[in-house]
Amino acid sequence: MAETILAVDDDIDILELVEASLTADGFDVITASNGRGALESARDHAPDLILLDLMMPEMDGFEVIERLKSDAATRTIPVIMLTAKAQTHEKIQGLRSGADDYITKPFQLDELTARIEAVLGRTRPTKYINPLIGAMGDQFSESGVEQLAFHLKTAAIIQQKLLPQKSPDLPGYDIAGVLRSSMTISGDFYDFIPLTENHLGIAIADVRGKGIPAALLMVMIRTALRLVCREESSPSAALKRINDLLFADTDPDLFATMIYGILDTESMTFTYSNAGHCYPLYLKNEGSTITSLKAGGMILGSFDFATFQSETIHFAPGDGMLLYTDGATETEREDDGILYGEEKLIECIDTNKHLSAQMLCDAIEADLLRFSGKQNHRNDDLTIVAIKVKHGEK
Amino acid sequence: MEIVVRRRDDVTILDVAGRIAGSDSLDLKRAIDAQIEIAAGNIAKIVLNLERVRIVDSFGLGVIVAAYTSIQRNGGRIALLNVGGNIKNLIVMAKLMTIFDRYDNEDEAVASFQ
Repeated sequence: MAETILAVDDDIDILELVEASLTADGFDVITASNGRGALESARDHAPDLILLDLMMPEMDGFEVIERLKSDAATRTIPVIMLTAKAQTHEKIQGLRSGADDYITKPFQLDELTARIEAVLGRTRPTKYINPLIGAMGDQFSESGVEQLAFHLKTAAIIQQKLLPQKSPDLPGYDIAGVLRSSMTISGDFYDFIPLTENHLGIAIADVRGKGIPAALLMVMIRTALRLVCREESSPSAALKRINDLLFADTDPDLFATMIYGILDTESMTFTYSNAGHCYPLYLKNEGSTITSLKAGGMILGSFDFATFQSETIHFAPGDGMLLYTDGATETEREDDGILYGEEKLIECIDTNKHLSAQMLCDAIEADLLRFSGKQNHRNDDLTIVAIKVKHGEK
Repeated sequence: MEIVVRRRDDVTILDVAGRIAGSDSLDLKRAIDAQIEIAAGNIAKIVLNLERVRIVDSFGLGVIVAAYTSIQRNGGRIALLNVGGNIKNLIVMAKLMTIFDRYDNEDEAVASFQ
């Protein structure tokens, strides 16, 4: 698509000449013969560049630039000034007020084209974020970017506070969780919720997508879980209620996967329900066999008819359970794009099963990093929760 | 992502190649939305051929789920063709096997609409 140039000059002869020349160069040209018309055209047509005469009656070029730069809709349009006199102070004033370049009249048409091409070459890359500017208000000014960064940082701190600040201290159990975000804020979360003296709610979830939208949904789901888990004694009923809440409030493509379970330290059972989440890995017979538990229901929030089932695991001393998000199994090897996968994860757990819950999480994280071949960079959020039943005490 | 749109009788086949992942998935969303619009009033009959799709992530799965819902809402139907590897695992894990009609053979997929 041809780029559009808005040419502004009160001299009709010059306007016609410029229009003919730039049209021949393949640009779409619109014209205005005064400052007010220029501002209107700039707003209505969002040209790719404005060629602006400084010396005009009523509103001069400086004022036009000032107004263009104070309007979010026109702020980013590059401006080339046309100055009649070779006066240095005028050029400096123009450049200071935000013009990108200047041309001194009289000028060669070749020079005009060359300068336009040079300015467009510099500004083309940023043009594509222009549509965002309307949506983000003032965020693209320098103070706006600073403010956005501050908001993100604050959001990250709020979110960090929604994660367990320390591992639950349950006699006979060793429980830990880690969350590594690929961005400042995360779509993953895990939670430890003390329900009664010997019942602990344990959750892990992965919200579709990344960044701000995922983080908002994460907060919503975490809040819903915190409220619902006190009213529903079965994990499947809790997930069903969260599903219905999400279904009512969001589009079907916004969904989450989640495991919610209740650890009963008295009966040594873990009763859980899985909503489309990565299968929990069960370390049985003191961890000598590691199996993935495939029972479960649909993803959360996409279907009103989704149903969920609960399943109960009976723990023995030495057993364990590992919950994780797909940031683990879908870690991609940089060289060939091969995915880490469940099998490798099981191998890694098998190698490190003697470690404490926290160290097991750390060992898996380290193995994923080694596998990916990347230095410290994650493409997706990663969350791991490890539950280990201690030996000899209960 | 590359999407080729073909027609067989009144069934639209979308041959997708590449990754249905991240914001790229929106290309697929636009292509499906366009087909729903073209069907306008008539029942949308869509086969999504995933034979040459290497990876689907959760974002991509969301697009397919949303497509299923909006086509269903218009009285239409979407069938998945050649669901393999990573995509199959994802659908199995998300417990969506019962939602999507899946076929390994294009003739069967097309015939299922008759």
